[in-house]
Amino acid sequence: MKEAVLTLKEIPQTGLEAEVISPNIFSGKSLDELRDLRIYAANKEVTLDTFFEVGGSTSKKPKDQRIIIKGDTSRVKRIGQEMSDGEILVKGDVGLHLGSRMKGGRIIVNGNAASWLGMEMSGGRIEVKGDAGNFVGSAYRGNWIGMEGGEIVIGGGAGSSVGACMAGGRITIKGDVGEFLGVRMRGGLIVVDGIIQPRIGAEMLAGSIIVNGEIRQMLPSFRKEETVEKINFPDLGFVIENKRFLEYIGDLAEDGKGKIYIKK
Amino acid sequence: MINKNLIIKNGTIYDPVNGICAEKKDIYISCGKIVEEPRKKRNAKIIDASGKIVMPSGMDIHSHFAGGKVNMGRLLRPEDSVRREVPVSGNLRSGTGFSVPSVFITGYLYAKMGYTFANEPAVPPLKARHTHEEFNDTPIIDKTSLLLLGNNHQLIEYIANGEKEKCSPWIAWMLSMTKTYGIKAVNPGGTFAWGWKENVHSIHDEIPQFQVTPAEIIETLVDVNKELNLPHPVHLHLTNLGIPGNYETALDTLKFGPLHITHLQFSSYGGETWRTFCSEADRIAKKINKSDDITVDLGQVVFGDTTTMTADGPFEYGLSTVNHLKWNNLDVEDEAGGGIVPYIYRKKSGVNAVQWAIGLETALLIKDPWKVFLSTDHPNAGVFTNYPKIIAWLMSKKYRKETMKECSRWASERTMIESLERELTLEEITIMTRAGPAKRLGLDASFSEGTSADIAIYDLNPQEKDGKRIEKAFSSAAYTIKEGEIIVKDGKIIKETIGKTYWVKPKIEKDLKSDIEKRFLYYSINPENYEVGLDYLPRGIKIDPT
Repeated sequence: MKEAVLTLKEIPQTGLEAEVISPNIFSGKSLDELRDLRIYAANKEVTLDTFFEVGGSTSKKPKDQRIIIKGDTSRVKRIGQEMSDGEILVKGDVGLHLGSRMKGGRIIVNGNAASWLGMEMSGGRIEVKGDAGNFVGSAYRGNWIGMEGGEIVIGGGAGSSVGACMAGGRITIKGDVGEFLGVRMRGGLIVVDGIIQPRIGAEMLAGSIIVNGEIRQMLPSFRKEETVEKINFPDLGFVIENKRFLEYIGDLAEDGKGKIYIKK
Repeated sequence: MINKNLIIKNGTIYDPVNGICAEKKDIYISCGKIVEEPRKKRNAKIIDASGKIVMPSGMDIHSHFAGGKVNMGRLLRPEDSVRREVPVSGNLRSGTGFSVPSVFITGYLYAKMGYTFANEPAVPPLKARHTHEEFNDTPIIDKTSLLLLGNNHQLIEYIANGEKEKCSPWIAWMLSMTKTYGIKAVNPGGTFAWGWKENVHSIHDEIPQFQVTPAEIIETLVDVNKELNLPHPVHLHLTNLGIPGNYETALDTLKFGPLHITHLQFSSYGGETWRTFCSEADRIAKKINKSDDITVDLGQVVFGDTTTMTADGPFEYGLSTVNHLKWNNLDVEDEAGGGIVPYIYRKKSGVNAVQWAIGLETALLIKDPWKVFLSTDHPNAGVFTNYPKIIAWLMSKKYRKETMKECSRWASERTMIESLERELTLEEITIMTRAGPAKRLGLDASFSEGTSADIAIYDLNPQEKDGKRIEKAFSSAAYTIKEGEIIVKDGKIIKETIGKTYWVKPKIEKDLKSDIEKRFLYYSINPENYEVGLDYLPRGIKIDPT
């Protein structure tokens, strides 16, 4: 695997629209061509090397391309947008829309990620060691289909509206999450180990949420079912056994068939 | 610097108004107009159009591209906005939006296809100011707009009270106040009834509160149109639109001509339910072939994600209960209503596949191209940027067969599209997309001497039969010339201009001052603030119909 290394020269004053930082775009280009890639700093079009030192090497195919990003990139947006293969490693924090509409490949963030992480993604894997912001794996504003496939794993906590309109794939959060977890969810699975703020599963139509930690409040529009000891996810190819969960079905206000499992 | 003289050399010319079809001929332009021979040939700029086709620029007779409803669509659909993002480039403005593009890029997208005119067909009188404001920011193209009058409370009251003599002056006054171009009726009486949570289900149903039927409203509007001598006939969106079995309503309404029936595809449905849904385009086309005062536009379905929007409020509510997506309904005081629902036309959906076929059947079964014009009812059945694809479907049987193979079997089983051998010629396409709409709107799209030099040049071999190549050529004009200026070169906008806005000022025979004052007791604004001033029309062209 070839490694291209981007080092941020200075923290930009405004957000950078950097959807060109993707193995699909990097592969097959020379380093000089990478330096000449266009990004937007606010409404000004600038070259990539205005903000980044570009080093390392590039591969012929996206599959063999790894991009390592160094520095505080918390204002760099859209990294890995629509990528389908390869790998991105972000050493520090990262800005909005990381891996949005991602189709495949892998992104690892050692620091924290901002909001809209993995928005509408359909494949691949994103791992964040720190915390993530709001709208993880959700639909874009106004859209009704969010994340459809792939996997997001967050080592820390996340903000509100995580998995909004989610339709497939899996989100795992080790820490706490904010309000409206899985709002308008229609498929897929969310697993949370920490504390969940109110309104979990509001307007949920289908899909599952597993609560290994605790919830602050259950909506009255969910119906309590029986205690289950085995949960099967044939679509995602795994089974949870030897644990006891209390099953809820809802959101009945939307005639929904979503399931929330709370660990006993 | 503006080149006052322009010569288009060696092109293959299509000018149906003057009976010119595929002739090699030079075209001379002087001071923005077509001339027989320029006075000073020396200074002329020359465009070499050898190997290319030259025709008047495109005219869209029915496109919801500006105004309150369109803007509501933009607000309702931020997710549509990210599907097309156009950054600033040179002197050109930025914009976003796929099915409901923002104003500036709407002008650019039309010009890029070689279109320089669009008719906004549904303006609620109170939203006319907003429409003209958006017109001013929609560059390059010329515009007209039609006023929604089929559900006007005052008009319905006049009809109910037997005061028909007041209808003409009332409409003349409204047209003059709003600087619009003609009469539009959308589900006449139906949107009015929607105010009482009802609808009309035939043109002979009485609307609530008044003993008036849609048939009477249509008849009145047609009479008023004649009396005022308006350049465009009544532009009608039929009752029962978008419902299986509605072809009977369409046949029932066609006898009220002269009419322009818009997006006929949505009104050519057979069957009793969606399960038995089928095409009745054949029966309707036969009737239109026999009549001489009916024209139609297609409302051709193009597969993909779009935004439906119409002044037919009850229809949009019904649609939202079918697809369960977000929806919006609005009521414009005593005048009109409307609604917006996102919609995705899918090839694998039987109903959508039949709808797609009906549009093409309509275009192919109506023999006279002067009677049927190309439209997608933008953005209801598809986005206007898909016109080149529709042209290719109409010109190549092979191309439409390729699409049909990907569609649900319903397209071949429940329509006759598969058996239709007709392939439209370039001359017929020129009529359907340029000369025909212009004639029906009382405007001109020809190369006659003195006509405004609005010209499209496409890089297309006149004998071309390959659908993909036809689509590509019409998607990106080699040149678009507007009033003698080169606007587009090789599919790129090189100059931005301001288009004209045509409006009518019919003679008002009767003073309705006391009626207007009484009516405005129910309005949120005073009659003094109702008029859209001429300062809203920087290039307004007044048409005096008398």
